[in-house]
Amino acid sequence: MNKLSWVFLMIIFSGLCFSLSYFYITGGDNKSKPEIVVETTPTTSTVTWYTSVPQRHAERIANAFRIETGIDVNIVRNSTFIVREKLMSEIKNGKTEADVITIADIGTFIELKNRGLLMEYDSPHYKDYPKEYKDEGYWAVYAAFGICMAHDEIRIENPPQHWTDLLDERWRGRIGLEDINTAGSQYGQYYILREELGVEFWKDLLSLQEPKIYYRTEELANALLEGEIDIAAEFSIHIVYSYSIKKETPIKGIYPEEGIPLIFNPVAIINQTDHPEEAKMFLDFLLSQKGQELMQGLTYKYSVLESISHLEGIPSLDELHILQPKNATNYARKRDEYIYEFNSFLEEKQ
Amino acid sequence: MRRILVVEDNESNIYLMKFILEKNGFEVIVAKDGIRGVEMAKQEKPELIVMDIQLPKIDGYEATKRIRKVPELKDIPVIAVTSYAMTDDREKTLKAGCTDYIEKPINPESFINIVKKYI
Amino acid sequence: MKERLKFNSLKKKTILFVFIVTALCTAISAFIVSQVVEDQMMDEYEIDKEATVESLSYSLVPMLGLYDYKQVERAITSYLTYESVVSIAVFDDSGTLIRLATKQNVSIEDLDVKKCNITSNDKVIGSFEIGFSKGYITKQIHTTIGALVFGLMGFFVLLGLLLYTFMSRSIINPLEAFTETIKEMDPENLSMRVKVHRKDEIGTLAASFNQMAENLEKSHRRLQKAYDNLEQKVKERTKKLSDSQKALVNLLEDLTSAKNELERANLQLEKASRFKSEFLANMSHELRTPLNSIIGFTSIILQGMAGEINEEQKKQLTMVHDSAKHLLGLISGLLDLSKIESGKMAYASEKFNIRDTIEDALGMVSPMIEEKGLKLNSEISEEVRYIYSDEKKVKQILINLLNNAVKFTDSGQIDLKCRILNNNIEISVSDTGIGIKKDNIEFIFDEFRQIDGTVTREYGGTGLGLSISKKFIEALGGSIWCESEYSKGSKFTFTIPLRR
Repeated sequence: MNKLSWVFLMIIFSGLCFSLSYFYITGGDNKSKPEIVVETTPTTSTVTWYTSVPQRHAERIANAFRIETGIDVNIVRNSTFIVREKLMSEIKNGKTEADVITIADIGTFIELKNRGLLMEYDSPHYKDYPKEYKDEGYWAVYAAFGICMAHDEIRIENPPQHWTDLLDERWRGRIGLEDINTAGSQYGQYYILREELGVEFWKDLLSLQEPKIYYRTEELANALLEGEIDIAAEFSIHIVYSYSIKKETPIKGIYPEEGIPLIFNPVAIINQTDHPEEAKMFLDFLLSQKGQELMQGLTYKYSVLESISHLEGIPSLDELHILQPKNATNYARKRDEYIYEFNSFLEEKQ
Repeated sequence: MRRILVVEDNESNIYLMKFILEKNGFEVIVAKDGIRGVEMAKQEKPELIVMDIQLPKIDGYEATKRIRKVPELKDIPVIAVTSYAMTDDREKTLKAGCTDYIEKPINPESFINIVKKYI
Repeated sequence: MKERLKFNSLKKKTILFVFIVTALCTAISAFIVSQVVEDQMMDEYEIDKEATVESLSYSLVPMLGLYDYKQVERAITSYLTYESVVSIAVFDDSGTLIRLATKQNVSIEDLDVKKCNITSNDKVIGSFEIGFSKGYITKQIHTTIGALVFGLMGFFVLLGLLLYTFMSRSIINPLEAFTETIKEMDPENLSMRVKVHRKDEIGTLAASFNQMAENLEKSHRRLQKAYDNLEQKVKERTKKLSDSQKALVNLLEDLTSAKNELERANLQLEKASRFKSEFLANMSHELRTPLNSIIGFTSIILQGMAGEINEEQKKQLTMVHDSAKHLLGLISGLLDLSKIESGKMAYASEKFNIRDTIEDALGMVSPMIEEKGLKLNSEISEEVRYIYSDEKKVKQILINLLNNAVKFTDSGQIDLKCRILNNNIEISVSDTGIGIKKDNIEFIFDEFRQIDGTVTREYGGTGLGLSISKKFIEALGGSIWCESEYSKGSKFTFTIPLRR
């Protein structure tokens, strides 16, 4: 009968409509993701920067510079002594790519200056830098950071107050240090406290207290927080800021009144530079107010410029009892020897 | 002398008409029936025919028609003599081919006038 | 044989109705929906765009502050995963381009570009431009509308189907059931009832119908009874009828024979009538011929054609002539009457000049008028000329009237007036004669009546003249009447139609 087949037809038609509707909704979902092309700031020239500043900070500094000048910054970053080795071996082999260097080892700069490998350049910013923090025309302190102790203030209520407190039995096996082979800060602390407190301090600390060695200050911080260690015997103040103020973790810094070793991270231009103008502009940038603000904002390290207001939550540069190597040249010369000494003390376990 | 053919079957009427016509100087020949009338018309070719309608054999109309068929007699004047009972058919008279007609009873004066009209 | 039940018109109407409703609903709702959807989606898109701009701006703040351009790159490429976003360009506060991300293979034309400043602590630290695709939203709208429209269509079609099913079930099916039942009913089988048990109108109809069928059955039974009674009565009557029928047949036979006799008698009458006419015709001819002789010969003699005659001869011969004429007139009159009576009088219909006819008639009576010393006046109207009628009869009528006028007038005058009136010709003859008494006027047109017995030339006072004239006039379609005053005079007027 006709009627039934019509009914079927209508139902099928209705079904078709619904499926078409469904198809409309679902179909047309994008088959492929279109290719995305990113263009960056147009740059005209380039400058190579050898640095121990953490990569992410270095990139931003480079961005700031690039956007301002249109000069691309080629970052070569690693731990202080690795960069130093690279630089030195390149120089030894005849040519280094480095145009500007900022590594946390004053010794390297003095050595380079003495070997005549630094370009003399009268940056307009040198005049703003205190004399203890520069060798005018050759280098100035780009950033400085202090070495203190640190602990998790929730877990550890009575932390050591003096460097020598570290030798207490209570801290045995519960102390953390950085690897002296790579960390400039660790060498700095070793040299300065060795000068200040004597080699015995270090001998006891390293051989008796069974310290754990870490490769980055962040690792030390995590170890503190996780309870792997109770005290970080070497800790950067700017990391204290990062963990305590920025990240709001219970990390707290200890600033012994005997003194705080201050590690410099100077900036200089390599004489051999292929991009002298660019290097000059970069050095100017780094030493400028803006560059210093940026540095402090990113790394939380100390700027030696007085015009830069200090960060709240950590002691200002003025407040610290700063310890510095008495002889910067010696500081440079003793490196290998002291590094070897550190390592040997460490191996001696009693 | 002008000859007139009188076609009439009644003796008195023949005498009457003949008398009047001869008195007026006409020669009269007589036919006593329709057939004879036609014959005589053909033969004698008179100047005028006086045709009575009530005739034996064929009536005066028929006789006149036949006479008219003869080419020489086409134009001969034919005076029909009608009786009172028939004069409703004036058309019939003319259709038959009669030139004119006179009613009975015959008035001699009228009779001769009408004849003189045509010859 | 049961016919296939069809409710073509109702079914078709229902289908058409449902179809129209469905189509209308779909069309209207589709239209409304598409309008609403379009507007709403456009608005939402705008809002979306604003939101995107804001959130991008917000997220870029910390990145720009600390030159974290890697993050910027990551942020803008992630935003580019939105289909609507085609390109994002971030600039620093001096307008220098930091990063630009664009989708490839996407048209750059037709972009809605929104610019925004990135501010931190009320200071502008940078800006960005984000390009939104217009095509994207259009496509979305179309997709949505398409989906909705088809969904609506599908829905309404189903709805229409349901509606039709419902209507069909409510109305068409019960109607079909109805018809089935009715078809099964026939005069023999009135016991069928419609099986529809519903509470609605159709149920009521069914119930009423069933009731009606019930009643019908009852009355059918009664009828059957009455019919049987009737049959009986009919039988009786039939017998009676056949008896009277026989009587009728007899009567009919009698009538038929009577009719035949009548016919025979009629035939005989006709025969007699014919005989009479022939006889009269023959007789009149026979009678007239000798009379014509008398008249003719006496005319010849009186006209001096047969020689001279003296006064006495003339006088006597004149009397003979007149008597013969009178006799002839009588015979003619009789013949006319006879013809008229038997309906054999022929009337001509020819065109003739009536003026001439009148003149002729006047001419014929003028000798008599002069003799009697009477005056004759004739007034014929200007327009009187031709008429279609019977000339001879008209002349006869005129002569009759004029003769009468002369006959009955001793002194004075006779007037003849002729004019046209209402498509008739009207002629009046008036005299200053003795007139007619009022009592006698009605009789003057009758046959054989005459008021006094004097002699006229025409009919000799037989009294036939006026009656024949009247019959002639009436046969020609006219009428005649008389006005008279005793001892003053008479006026006879007649009319004849201009065209017979």
